[in-house]
Amino acid sequence: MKSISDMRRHKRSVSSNRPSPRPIAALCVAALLCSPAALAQSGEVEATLTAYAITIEEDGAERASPASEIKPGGIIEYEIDYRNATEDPLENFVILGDVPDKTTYLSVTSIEGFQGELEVHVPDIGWSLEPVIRYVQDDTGALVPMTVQPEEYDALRWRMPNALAPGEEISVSYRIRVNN
Amino acid sequence: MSKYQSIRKRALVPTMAVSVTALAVGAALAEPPPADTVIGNQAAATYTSEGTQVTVQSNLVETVVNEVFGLELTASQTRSGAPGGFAFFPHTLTNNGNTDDQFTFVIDETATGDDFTMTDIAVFLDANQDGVPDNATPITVTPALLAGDSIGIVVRATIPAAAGTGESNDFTLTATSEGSAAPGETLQSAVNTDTVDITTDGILTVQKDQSLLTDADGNGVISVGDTISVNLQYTNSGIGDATSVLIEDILPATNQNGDAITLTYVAGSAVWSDAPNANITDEPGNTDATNGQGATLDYRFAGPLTVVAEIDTVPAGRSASIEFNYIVTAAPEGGIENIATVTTSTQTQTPSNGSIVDVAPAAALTFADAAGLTVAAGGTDGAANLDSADTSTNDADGTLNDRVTNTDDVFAGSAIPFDFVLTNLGNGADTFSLSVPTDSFPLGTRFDLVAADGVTPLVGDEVTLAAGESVHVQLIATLPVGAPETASPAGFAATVNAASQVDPGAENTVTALFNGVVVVPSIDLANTDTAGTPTTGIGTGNTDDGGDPFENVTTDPGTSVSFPLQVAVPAGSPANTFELTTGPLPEGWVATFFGPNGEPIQNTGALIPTNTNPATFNYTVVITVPEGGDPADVPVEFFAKSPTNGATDSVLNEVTVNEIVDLEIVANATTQAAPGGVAVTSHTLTNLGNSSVIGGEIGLGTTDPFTDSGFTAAIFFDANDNGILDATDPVVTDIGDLVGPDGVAGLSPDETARVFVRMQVPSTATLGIQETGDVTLSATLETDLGTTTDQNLDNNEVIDTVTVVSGDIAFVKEQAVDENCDGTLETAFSQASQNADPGHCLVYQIRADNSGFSDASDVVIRDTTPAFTSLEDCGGACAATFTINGSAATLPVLPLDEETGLVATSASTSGFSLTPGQRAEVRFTVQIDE
Repeated sequence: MKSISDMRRHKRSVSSNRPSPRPIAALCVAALLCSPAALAQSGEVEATLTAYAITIEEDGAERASPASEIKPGGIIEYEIDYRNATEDPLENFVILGDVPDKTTYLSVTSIEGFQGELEVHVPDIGWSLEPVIRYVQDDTGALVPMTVQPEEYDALRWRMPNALAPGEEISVSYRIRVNN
Repeated sequence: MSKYQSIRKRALVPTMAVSVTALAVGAALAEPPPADTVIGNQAAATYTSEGTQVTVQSNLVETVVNEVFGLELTASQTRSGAPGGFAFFPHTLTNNGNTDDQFTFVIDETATGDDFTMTDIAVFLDANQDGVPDNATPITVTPALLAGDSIGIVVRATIPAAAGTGESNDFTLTATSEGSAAPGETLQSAVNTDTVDITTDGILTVQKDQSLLTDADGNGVISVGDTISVNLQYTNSGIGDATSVLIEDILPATNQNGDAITLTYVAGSAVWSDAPNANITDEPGNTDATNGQGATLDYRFAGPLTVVAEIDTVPAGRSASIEFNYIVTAAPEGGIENIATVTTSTQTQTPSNGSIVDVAPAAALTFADAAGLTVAAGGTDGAANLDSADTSTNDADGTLNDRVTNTDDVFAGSAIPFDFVLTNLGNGADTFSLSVPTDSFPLGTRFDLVAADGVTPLVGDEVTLAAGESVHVQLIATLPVGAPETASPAGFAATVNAASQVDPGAENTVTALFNGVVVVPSIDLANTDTAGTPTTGIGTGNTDDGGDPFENVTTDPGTSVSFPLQVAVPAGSPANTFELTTGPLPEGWVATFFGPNGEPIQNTGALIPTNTNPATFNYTVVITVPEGGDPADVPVEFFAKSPTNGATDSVLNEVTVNEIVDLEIVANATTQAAPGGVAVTSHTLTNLGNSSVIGGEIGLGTTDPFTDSGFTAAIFFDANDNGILDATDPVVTDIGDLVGPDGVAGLSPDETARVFVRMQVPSTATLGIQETGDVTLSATLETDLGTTTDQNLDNNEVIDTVTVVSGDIAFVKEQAVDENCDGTLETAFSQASQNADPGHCLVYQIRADNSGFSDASDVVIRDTTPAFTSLEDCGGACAATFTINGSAATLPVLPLDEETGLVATSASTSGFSLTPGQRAEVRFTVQIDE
């Protein structure tokens, strides 16, 4: 069986090399289809995902600890860090964050390093900026706009307006709650 | 969970003030993940580099869900009871934790304010939840319950005989989890209150039971299509008769998970136990049957879901039942519970026990080039079972055939996408594991399973779908960069498998077929003119001019030539970078590459053509021919090659290195001899050209012959290279006579040879005359390439001058090496060449012998220190010496001239005298600069 990469790893840094040109663009049916998980050849883009369990102390202060385990109803904060360790600016940089199965999205808690806008994904709508609107039919058959609640989001992404310069770092954090 | 087809959200349809109908939005209640569930997350980023989109995945983080405990106990209730009888209280206990648990029961009958006290209160199992204890054995703790499971129990209490009508009593039932409480937390528990009211009227209870009547698919469990039998057993446990009894049972429209279900009543299926052969109709308003005691039944099916049975009288102690059937027409996995009610003239609507039938989970799926409507017989999907409204986004074969065909031509190293549709046709949410068990793609092909966007990876290669849900997933087959070209069509196939985690035996495969062509991208390398316009070698594979070079440039050794070239990547080709190289070059040759702005380069950088315009890159290769480079026509081949996909092209050019012919002889010499004596001069021949000179006259007296016929002379070759004319040194008249120790005649490039001119002075020579004669190299020489002409005639002749003197002073200069500069010689004095390193000392010895027959007066010995040396005295150990016949003579201060390094026995022309046979000797030491 050809390997489909083993993902069973716990918190570690992964590096992707700077890409060598991939001879595909002209013949691919769509740009997004052309370079899945293209791991590059020289230079590196460092990507780190860290999970923190968020708890509230008796004095009301928040406490973050490594989220190796959690109870249903618990809050996890995911911090995504990227660093351009290549010698080239990276254009059209987009970060994708997932809302895992059996969890519910709560909020973005911090964005550092750029001013990109948050886009959210709703299964039956797709990607859009907030607020996300869904049209539903009332008893008369008229379509009524309704704001989709954040708990329906199942993925997030941030588009960086400018190229990620060599050595530049960006970081985003968001929280989810484990279903209960 | 499917990345973008989630069903896991709670309340996907928000509430609002107006009544609305959701548009195609399915929902499932969120549930706590089971203990030890691993919540994995992996971020990804995409960016564009050199025109190519790249995806970077982060590490995977995993969080393990801890166990939590919880329960639900339903319901508090009030029952009627007769003095001296039993009261039964059915309850349902549900494990709301996320792990296995057991629950203990405690009855508390100590509350004050009751009219009487119940006795013998005990809890019994009621596995079938018919409201009746399964056996006579009371329990204090439940069996282990899985997370989410429920169990039926019945509390039985004895009413004292003295209890009076209108009196009541209540007690509490507490169920407590046995799960470990976390520090600071209490055990989870739930409390119901059961109340009994004493009456002498009839007390009618209904026990409901459901069972599998017809197993339509024979799988032994309840599933869609099966027929369920409902038994409503009613009993009058009171003292008086129950009249106007109305039993109502409403079949549910949702299951316990809140999922919609469809149950279909079986018309005419009702049976009354008191008149089993009666024709019970479903119509209202008529008496369907009368029993032996004269009680009548009016049975009706009142609408799509409601069954009603009206019995005019049920005497005290009487028990009977009503049965009817329904079909599970549509239902996902989960429990189907419903509760019947009974109403009498003295009793308000009283619920029966909750009866539950469980629709077993059933896994089914299609994995194909379209969404599935049904499972295909035999597992091969096709038009008969697939939904033509939801098909693969890139299936080129246009047929629903369980195969996605991609016919796009691609370059080696490209990613080939295949879009599939996975459909969950099971009756519940299911997670499907995807894999690629077999394939015939080229070795080294990488397979990635990603979401419909073609980028986002599927964590764990798993997809979770709600029942009936479909999702597009993509297989990305990335060919190795070295994949060879293929015929058309390529015919590469991969089998992609989806396996249910609910039932590992439920799996389905789909085929990815690549029927395009794998091509190696083309590239063109061509010569250009100085303006950068291609001139020769245009076209991929046009590498030479019919076996000859395209371009020829002639140059001399020690110079450079340039070749302007252009790399062109055709329109529509992938972006690429090309390494620039040459073929093998002769030793000492150097090729240097320069970009369009004169910058040194080794490759082209990224060349990114568009679909309509090629990408070009002009550069220059400078070839430097070393000094002494052989004269030849040297082919030089230039290459541009992609390191990623092997695309390459070349052009063949040529450099012609001119033949340089330049034979040198140095230097003019002046000597003296007495009449009848012999004078010897030394000259050096050097081949300054780049080809071997193997022939050519060495003339003596050619242009300046000796005028005195008495003078005779001959040229000797210092064959043993000792600097001394030996008896074995041969007479030479031609370059071809110069045969060195290696046995090779002539002089190769840079080679030198020493020749001596031995001149015999006639005894009749007049004192004081000077005779001159030349040694001349012929302008016509023979080289390896044939007869040619020396291109530099300025260095082909030397003149020897002989002065006839009465006192003939013969000078000999020799050298030796003092490596340590300590006055101790490591080699003997010799006129031959010796090897020494920087820092070593050289000791020079100059001897002047009076070989004449009269005194020589005012003799001055002069010499100079060589370049890159300085006079050294070794701290006195090698100080300069001057002796005459072995006796120390006075030596002037040394050196006499700092600039020229002049060393001399006298600072003026006034010298010393040597009598015939005397010898003067000067030694001095120099150190080689470091």
